[in-house]
Amino acid sequence: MAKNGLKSHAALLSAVVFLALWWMGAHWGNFRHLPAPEEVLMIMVEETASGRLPYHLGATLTRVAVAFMLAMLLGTAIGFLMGRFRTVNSALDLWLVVLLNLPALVIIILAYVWFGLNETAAVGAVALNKLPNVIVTIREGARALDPDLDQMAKAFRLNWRKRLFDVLLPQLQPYLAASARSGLSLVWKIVLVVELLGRSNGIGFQLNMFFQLFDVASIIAYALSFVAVMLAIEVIVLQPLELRANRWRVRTT
Amino acid sequence: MSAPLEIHIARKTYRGAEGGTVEAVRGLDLKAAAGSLTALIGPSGCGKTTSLRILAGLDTDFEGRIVLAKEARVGIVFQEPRLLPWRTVDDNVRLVLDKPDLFDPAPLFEELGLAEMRNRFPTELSLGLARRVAIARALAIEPDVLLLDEPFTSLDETTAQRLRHLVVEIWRRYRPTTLMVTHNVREAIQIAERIVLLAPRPSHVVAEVMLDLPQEERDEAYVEAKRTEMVRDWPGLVA
Ligand SMILES: Nc1ncnc2c1ncn2[C@@H]1O[C@H](COP(=O)(O)OP(=O)(O)OP(=O)(O)O)[C@@H](O)[C@H]1O
Ligand SMILES: [Mg+2]
Repeated sequence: MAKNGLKSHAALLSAVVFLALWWMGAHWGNFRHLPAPEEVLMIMVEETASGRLPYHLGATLTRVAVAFMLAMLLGTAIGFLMGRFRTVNSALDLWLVVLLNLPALVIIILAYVWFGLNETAAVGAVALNKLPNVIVTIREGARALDPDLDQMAKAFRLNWRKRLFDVLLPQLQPYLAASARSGLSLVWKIVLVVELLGRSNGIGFQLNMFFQLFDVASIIAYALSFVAVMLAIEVIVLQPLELRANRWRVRTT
Repeated sequence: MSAPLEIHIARKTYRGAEGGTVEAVRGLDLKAAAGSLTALIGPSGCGKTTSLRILAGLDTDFEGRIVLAKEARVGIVFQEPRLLPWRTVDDNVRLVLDKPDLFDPAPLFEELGLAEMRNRFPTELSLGLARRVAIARALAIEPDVLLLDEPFTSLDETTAQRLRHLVVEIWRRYRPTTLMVTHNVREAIQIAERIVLLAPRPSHVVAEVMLDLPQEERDEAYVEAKRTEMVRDWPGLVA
């Protein structure tokens, strides 16, 4: 507990130091395009009151959520099959490598060119960017499955539900958590690019607009709001989930 | 509801990782009448676990055949406990039941000395305790066929003795057709109706020893006399 308290104190302290440095830099420094923290805060409040920030934030978050789920579901299924069956692995391995090395921008542009400037193309392109990472991670997990437990499940004739929820998923859980973690951060970065290139709402669209107006304060205000939301999701949703899933591990301290 | 069983393994070979092959079993034929209790004794690595796995239907890559009613419930205690580390002791046992809500595991846990452990996770248990949970799991399904692969190793002698009595008692009560692999000749003489001796790899049956005396009448002297007799007759196989 004491250790935990110390950790959150350290986090708080570093945030305060960062804000102080920012404030000093904006007021006393010689940076032309560094707005002061209070200026950014004002914009956040204004934009929230006008409803613009929540609207664009909502649009972006919806895209993040859908693309994330899509990539996780598909990636888990494909990664599992590749890890379990050699033929599936050799059939898909080449495409996996191609996808892994294809720059995000190429996928996005091609998706827009081929499928039009619509929501499906946008979300699909994001999911496709995330997909190979999920596949690679889950494939590793599927290869590490314990054959002894599999035999146990067979010997006791467990039904498919128990095999899935009691035997399989708990073994994949660390891999799922790892790909979810890295996945969320990757997805939201790519979503902004997709919005910038071909959508008329969302944080990415707004950032592009402010960039053209050279409104740095608004750019920071929007970016920070979004980061805050993602941080909250991490702390409020992901971390407690992981803690719960890891309850059974022996505490070694 | 015990079921008779037969194992006929003409040949079982493993392919090694580097392409070589290991012939684990050759010409092993074994029958067990419904409700019988058989102990299997054989040198380490002779193919006992392999044979049990084949009997349980976990390995179908062999030459030969198995006779075992499809609907027979098979309770198996593996050589290692094989519990789910992310489920409590209680949930590990409930997992294998078709209707876990209708089952009260308390008496079983009590008999196995696990009453205190019900809400622990397997990672918090000693190997001996984990073995007991594995035994509880196999007994909980009220098996028609009970397969035990060295179930009492790594237990202290008092606990092992108690569990031997428990297994015999459960066997009396429900009469599952029981096969128990062991290295411990005294243990086999104490509880089995019949001891089957297996040859070193590739394994097959060398001899069968019938023990007619009821288990509760077998005292130290009887066990020792039988053992001496067996050591004399099969010096290489029985220690
Ligand atoms: N998966 C496997 N791949 C290759 N060889 C194997 C495999 N499993 C077992 N063997 C080999 O087959 C032989 C029989 O193994 P098995 O586990 O059945 O022996 P065992 O009689 O149960 O031995 P122990 O008393 O030590 O448990 C051994 O020589 C072992 O090395
Ligand atoms: Mg063995």
